[in-house]
Amino acid sequence: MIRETYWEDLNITPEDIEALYNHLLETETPLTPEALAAALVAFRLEAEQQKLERQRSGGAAVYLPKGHYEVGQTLVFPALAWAEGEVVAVRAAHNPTLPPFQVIRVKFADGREREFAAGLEEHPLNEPPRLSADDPLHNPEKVLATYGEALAQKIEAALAENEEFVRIAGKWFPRALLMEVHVGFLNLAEAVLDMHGGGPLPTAEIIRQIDFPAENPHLAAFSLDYALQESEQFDEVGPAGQVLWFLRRMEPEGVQETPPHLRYRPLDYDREALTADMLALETALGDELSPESSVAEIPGKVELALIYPHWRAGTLPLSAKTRALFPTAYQAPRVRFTWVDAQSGAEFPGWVVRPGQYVYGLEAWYRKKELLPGSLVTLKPGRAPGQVLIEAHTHRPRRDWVRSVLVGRDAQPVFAMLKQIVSAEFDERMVIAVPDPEALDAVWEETARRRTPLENLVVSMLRELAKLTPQGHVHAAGLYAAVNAVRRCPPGPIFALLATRPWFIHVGDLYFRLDESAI
Amino acid sequence: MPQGKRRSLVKPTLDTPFHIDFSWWQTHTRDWRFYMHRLLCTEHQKQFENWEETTPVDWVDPETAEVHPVDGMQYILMTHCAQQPEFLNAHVPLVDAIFRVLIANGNRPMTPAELAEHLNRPAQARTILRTLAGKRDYLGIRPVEE
Repeated sequence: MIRETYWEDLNITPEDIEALYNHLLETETPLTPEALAAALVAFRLEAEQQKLERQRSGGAAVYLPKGHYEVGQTLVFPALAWAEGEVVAVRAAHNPTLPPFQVIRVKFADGREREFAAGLEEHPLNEPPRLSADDPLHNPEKVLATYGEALAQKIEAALAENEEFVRIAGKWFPRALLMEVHVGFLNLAEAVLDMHGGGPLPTAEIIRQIDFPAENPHLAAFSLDYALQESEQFDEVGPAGQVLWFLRRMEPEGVQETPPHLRYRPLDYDREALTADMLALETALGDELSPESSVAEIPGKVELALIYPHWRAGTLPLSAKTRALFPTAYQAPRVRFTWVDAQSGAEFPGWVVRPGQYVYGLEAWYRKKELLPGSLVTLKPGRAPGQVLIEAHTHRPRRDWVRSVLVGRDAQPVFAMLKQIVSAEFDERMVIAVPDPEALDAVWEETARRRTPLENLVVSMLRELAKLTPQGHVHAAGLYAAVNAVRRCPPGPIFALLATRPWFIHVGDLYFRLDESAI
Repeated sequence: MPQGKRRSLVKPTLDTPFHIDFSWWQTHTRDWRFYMHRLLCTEHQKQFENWEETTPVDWVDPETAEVHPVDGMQYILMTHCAQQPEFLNAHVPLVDAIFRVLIANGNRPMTPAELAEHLNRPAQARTILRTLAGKRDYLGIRPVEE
């Protein structure tokens, strides 16, 4: 019997590690933690089964109808609640309809004597007793459905601390089975990737081109993968379940390092102060720096309003709102995929940069579509795996009055309504045209150098934006967009200030005005 | 095969298993062999025409592999005649139908709910319980007592 919390409390023991090691040796195939969790559950259930049999039999032989027994032998009877008895007589059975068998007379502890078949090949009891598969704690499928993820994490943690195992693209393998990869092969692999624009190339293709010995293709691929992974020259950029290699030095700069406009130093703020409406707006904005409560399932489509930092870096947020649309990976920090322009069908390379929580590769596309910070962009799942459709709601260019940010002589931002050429739909509350991004870069540098407190920025932005409307009211989303025109900041800290400072007056529907007299 | 015991004072429920207590037949006036002969298939009714005593056969319990020496005619009834499709389909009173279900299943103890299921009368589990739990023992069908 397995106790209720057996799987929940399970700690990976040295015996488990040995069993997993042997399993990998036998299969000769690298396995994911999920597959190893399945092997572990099978191993643990078998061990518990054996323990159960040992406990119940107390060392005595388990009675099976097909067995042959002698007078004086002690037996335990699984079908009789594991009662123990001694064989006191053996006789030939009389049954013309069955093959010849024997009858043993067994004396039990209570003094009763009962007869049982022996030497009878055909009987259901000849199958040894098993742990009941009806019990969810004994059923491998049910155990894995409930505890599989937690077990996989425990296995992952245990194997990571053990030098006998190596991991590549989320799969584990015994180090002892790896082939040695000479440095010459790594140089050849680098040359091959260089010839292919840096990559991405699958391992099999690299093996073919460098003539790597591959008597056992699985083993050769895994060994080369491991050698490439251990070398800093190469980057594994395949989505989960796929190994693709890229030459690190040929990856775009915005992939190797987080672009300056996306860098954020986390600020302390009181999340409890955020109202329900503010939390809803925060979710809708889909900022990658906002805390994630849960990641949505793959949505039909996601619409985002661009903010200046992403517009400038040619990126989009990898947030709870968008994450499910993009390929992920077990280990690879950077994953290569393909953007597809939903209108023209044109394809161009994209990158998921998991540590920086952004997706890259849109700088030229934003330029081509003449998008502004605040423009609306729609994302949809691609038709093939590894593709993501992107669409800007473009229309014929027209001149329109748009909130714009200019840079004054004092290197301070100035907001004004100016006529701009507009080629795509935008969010009225968040749009900010930036006629001279290089000039605005100077404001970013100055803000960072002076370490201007966020609160000062929020006040000055609200003051600037209020001048552009007759009522002097500014929406929280507009304020978030304006602050992000001069420094990177998620909505949370900005909204917390709006909610807690007396000089920010809420006039309804997340519109605020500044009470200068209270400052 | 389960041994006969005195009826328990504990009131049976829908979850109480019942079986045929063959010892009941030995201690009551009903002629077990005569009743059993009527249940045989046509072929075996002829074979046991004189329904005289036959050599006991070692019947092996399908669940426990316990061996019970049973009358040859009873053995044939359980292992052959009761396995014929018409055996359970016969239009007979409820108590006889219950008896047939138990015989056809090697006298494996069954609850009223299980018996109702086997008889395709799932709504009659309580009727079966009321019948079998009464003061009178019908055809030796009694609760199994631990």
